[in-house]
Amino acid sequence: MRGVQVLKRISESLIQTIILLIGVTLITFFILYLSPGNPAEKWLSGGDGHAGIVSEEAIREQEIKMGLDRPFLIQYKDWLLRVFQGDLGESMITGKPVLDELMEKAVPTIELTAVSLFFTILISIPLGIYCAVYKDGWLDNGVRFFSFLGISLPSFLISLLLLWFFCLKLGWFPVIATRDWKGMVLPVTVFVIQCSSKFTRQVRAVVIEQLGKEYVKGAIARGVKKRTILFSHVLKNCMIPILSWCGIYLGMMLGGAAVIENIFSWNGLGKMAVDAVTSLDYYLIQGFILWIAVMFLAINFIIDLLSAFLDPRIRKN
Amino acid sequence: MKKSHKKKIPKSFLILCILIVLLLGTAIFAPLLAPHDPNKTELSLSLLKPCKEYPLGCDAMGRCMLSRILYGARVSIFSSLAIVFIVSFIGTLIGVFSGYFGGITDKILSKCISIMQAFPKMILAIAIAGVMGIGIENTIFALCIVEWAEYARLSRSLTMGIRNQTFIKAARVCGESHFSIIIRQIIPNVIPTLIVNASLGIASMIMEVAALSYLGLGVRSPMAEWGAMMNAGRNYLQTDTRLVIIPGAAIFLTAVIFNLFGDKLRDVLDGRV
Repeated sequence: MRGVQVLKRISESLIQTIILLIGVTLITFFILYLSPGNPAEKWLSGGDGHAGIVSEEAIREQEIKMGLDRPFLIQYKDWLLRVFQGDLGESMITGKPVLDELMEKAVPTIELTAVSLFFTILISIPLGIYCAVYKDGWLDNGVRFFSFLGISLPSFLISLLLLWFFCLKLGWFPVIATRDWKGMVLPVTVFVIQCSSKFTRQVRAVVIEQLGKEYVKGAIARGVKKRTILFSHVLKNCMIPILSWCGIYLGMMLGGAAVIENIFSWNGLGKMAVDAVTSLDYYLIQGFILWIAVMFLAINFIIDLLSAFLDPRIRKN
Repeated sequence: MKKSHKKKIPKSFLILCILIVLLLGTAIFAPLLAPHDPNKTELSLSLLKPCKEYPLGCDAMGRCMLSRILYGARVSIFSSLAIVFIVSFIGTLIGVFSGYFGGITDKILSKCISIMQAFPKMILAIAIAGVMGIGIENTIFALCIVEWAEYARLSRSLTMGIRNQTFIKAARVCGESHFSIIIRQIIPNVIPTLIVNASLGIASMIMEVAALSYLGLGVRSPMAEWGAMMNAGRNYLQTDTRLVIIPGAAIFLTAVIFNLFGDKLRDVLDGRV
């Protein structure tokens, strides 16, 4: 019986993901149409903005070559077919295939994400649980104060202050980040400050909510030890929301923090995205947005599967 | 009857209200308060330290920092207020509609919401603002596109929570039209939570507008905006941190005030309901 339930849930989740995927590709493709400029002209001028040099006929010709003269939906269909074959076009600036460019830049971002997420989870989950159990204690108040500061501080302010203090003043780290632990310390710090400020609050809130439930009162009345209630009842029920937040943070970080990567010159996806946007490298922008959204959906799908296995309501049915 | 249940409004909330009014006043009356023209460059005053005539000194182009901060308040605060206003309006409309009618309407609308939420917000905003070109109106547009879904999701779930309650059914039985039920029953019930959510959203909007400007995708060049000022000051980080710290502090303080205001507003409204 359980197998059928889980299978049903998986197939439902898969269908949902596919519908979302179609919507996501449509929006990604549509972004190009928001541009006031002409991608064909952009392609010919090679991103330097020497638009005057390119003749009208050449632009028309390029438009036909790029399929820009055809109706929107047909263009979309052609593009989608190409995307499924792994062809995201070529960067208008470097001429390299977009997919290669993405793969290359994804590695530093994934490294940064793995370390940042690890520390965010390591700090936020125990701290959030502790603050919920000892609500209004001195640590809880302190954490609430600091997480409030963390939420109100823009990431570029934290980044610039850290850069100034540790790189320029103390000279502990290089100004232009190197691809090793030394270059990673500051960007990870900013990530962890930002994310753990929010995540700790979220964990705290969900644990407090669970602690106020009737089953906890019942367990206390039956004389179950508080420790047992917390670890074998409450935390089990908190697992699913916490897991789905981890998924959201993972997706967010994998997109590369544009601002943070830019300030520390971390050569990942976030920096690439800003460079692509400032030089109007349309195909690279498109490819990047698609990559991120697909990642996001894939992570959500996996989280959904995990929840299906973890959720006792599905398991016991 | 009503009066006796009314809780006293806490003092801290009143202080925050005054601070918000002050902030808005600064933004509105920036031209009167600013001692100098914010865009007038005077290269002989480049990187001038704070003095009597220029209380916060000058930036690299010799423009008065104080005037630029005051004018920057206009852009930062008004654009974020505009975004929050637009997205709460659109989001509430879509969310309430979707939650109230349910069925196929809800299926389609909630799919649209989920699709928008599949994109990381900042990344999509950067792409839209970048492709559309520099300019504060494009920044506002981009942030509206990425933000409405969250507001819609919240108002949808709130509406679904009360849709099947007795007073709605009673109104229906009495022959009230759907439109009138939405306006007179649903909206007044969901609006307190939405207002709290919106007021908490202002601070994050201020930071997102500033972040886009910092990346060079916000305001056009001479216009004063806090994020853009930090971007300009970044090159002088080593010689004069003031250029980064002053606009940074302005963003931080404004965000703190709006966040505290949202938190307190929630407490006040929770006390009432």
